[in-house]
Amino acid sequence: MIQLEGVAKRYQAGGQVVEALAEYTGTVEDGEFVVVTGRSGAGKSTFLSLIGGLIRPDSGRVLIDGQDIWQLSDAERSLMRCRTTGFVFQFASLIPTLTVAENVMLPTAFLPAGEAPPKQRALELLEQVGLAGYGDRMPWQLSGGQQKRVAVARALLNRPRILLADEPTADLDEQTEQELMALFQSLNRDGMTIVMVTHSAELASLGSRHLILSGGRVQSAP
Amino acid sequence: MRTGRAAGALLRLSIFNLMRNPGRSAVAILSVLLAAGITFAGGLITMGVNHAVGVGMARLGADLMVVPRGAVDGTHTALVMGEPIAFYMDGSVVDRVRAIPGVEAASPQVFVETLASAACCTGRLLVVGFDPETDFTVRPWLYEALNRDLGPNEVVAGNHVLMTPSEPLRLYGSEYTVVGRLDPTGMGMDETVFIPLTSVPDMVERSRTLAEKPLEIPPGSVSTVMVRTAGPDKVEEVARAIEETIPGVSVLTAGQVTQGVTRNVSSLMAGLIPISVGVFLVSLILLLVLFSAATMERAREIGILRAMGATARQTVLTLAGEAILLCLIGALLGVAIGVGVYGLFQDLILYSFTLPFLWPSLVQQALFAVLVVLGAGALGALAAAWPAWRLARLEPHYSIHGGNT
Repeated sequence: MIQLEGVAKRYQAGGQVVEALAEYTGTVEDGEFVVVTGRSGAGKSTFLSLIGGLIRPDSGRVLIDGQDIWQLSDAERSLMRCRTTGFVFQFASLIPTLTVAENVMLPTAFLPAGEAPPKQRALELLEQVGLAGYGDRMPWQLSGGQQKRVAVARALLNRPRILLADEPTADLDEQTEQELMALFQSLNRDGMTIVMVTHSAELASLGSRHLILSGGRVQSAP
Repeated sequence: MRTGRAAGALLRLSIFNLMRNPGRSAVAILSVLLAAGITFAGGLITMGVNHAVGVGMARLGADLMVVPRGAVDGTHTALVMGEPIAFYMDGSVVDRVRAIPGVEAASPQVFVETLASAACCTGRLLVVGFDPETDFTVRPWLYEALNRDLGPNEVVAGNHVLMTPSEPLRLYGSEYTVVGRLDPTGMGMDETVFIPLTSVPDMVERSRTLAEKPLEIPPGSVSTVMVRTAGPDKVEEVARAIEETIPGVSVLTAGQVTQGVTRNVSSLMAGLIPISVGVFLVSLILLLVLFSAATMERAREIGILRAMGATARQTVLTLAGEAILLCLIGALLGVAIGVGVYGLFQDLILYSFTLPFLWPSLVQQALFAVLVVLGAGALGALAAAWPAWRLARLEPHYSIHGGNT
């Protein structure tokens, strides 16, 4: 379970204070599929980073399974992130010098040896995202959509319980978008908690809950 | 275990990243190569000169050299570089030196200057006649190596006197047999042939009829008197007493020879050190700029790694590791090229600055090379530390998204 208790985040931008998130308290239950929408610059990515522990809130607490993640040391928080959370970013986030399979396998480097999944899992995930046989290719040999699917496979490698996706369908063609959403729904049915940020109102209907972020305030969609 | 596996993966990323930017890597390597090469060559010269002076002065075995007034500089040059030289004073000086309190032993030597191309097989040769009866500089070695005195027409050669063992040494029309070769000292005695003093008059006599240019050595004269004092604390006192008691002579102490060499090393280093410091500073600034740019370029990648579970410490290590790796490669190449360049220009450097040189032991050279390479690694770490630390302190969200929310 993800809990945000009075979480607030402000930025300094152009000499002005911008409120990315005004004291928000809310919970994402295990197995939920929450879709967060909002206009550009509304603070959607910040909201996701706060949940994932990629940015420290100015005030309030972020708890994962009851543990305040900012009470942990950097090493503990990093390990927790590695074990429990998978990230999908809106841009191509593959390491250009590694092959597709190496990119997918990369998160295992940060797990204790006994917990690291075998390479076979990476190949299975590539198959699951429709990229069987692409393991030896380099990222630049793939299309934008294919790279995004590799990033999804990488996010799933360590069997995280939480998937945080930031505009995962950005720049994807319609068919790839549908395939990706079908995969997310399938993962959610299997019990994975998903928080997805998107600007697409159409995709919002795919989640079990829809939050709207506007002016730093989070509201539940009707 | 987690740390080790992560370090391996991050190191691989660093290596791949270096290969992805060959131009930037080459510039970094080149700058470190220059700094390391100059540092290593400079250090090697200093070590080699000090080693040569240490070995040479120990081999010389004398605390003082008494020479005719005005011959100190020439003696210094002959002693250090083996430049042939000839000067003479009356042989009675030897007994007068012996009579001075504090003198434990005194032995005369006669310098016979050879023509540049008259020796058997080398262009530069100093022939030194020594007195086997009183000598304490050549004889100890002779007894260690030969277990006997030199016979008639037998000589001992310095290590750099080139000739084949079966070939007789022809000097001023006389033939000599080389029965021993001294260990290298890096100093003038490497270019010297030692003959018994009693052979010198014969050589002079025969040169009158057999040599193109006869030797002009006044009968009964000597070039120098080697002096051993009763103790190190007596050296200055005895030197002063000799100069005060015996007119027309000067005294050269072992300390003066060492000081002279040190002065020459200093004048060489006076040119080399500013260059080294300049190259070092330029390298440091260049590396700072390069690694700052490289770090900023990889900010998003680092942010993504952190999102996957890399710690801040690991990201610092991966960025510093990249810099250290580049600097180690540059330093290894620099050391290798430094040795090569020094090997090529060794004679030019040493003769220009009147310096003796004896290669330090391989262990010393290896240790110094390791020191230079490690120093370069530290330079890399220093140059990368600040940008890496800044990036590591940045929360992953900002690394990934820049200033965007």
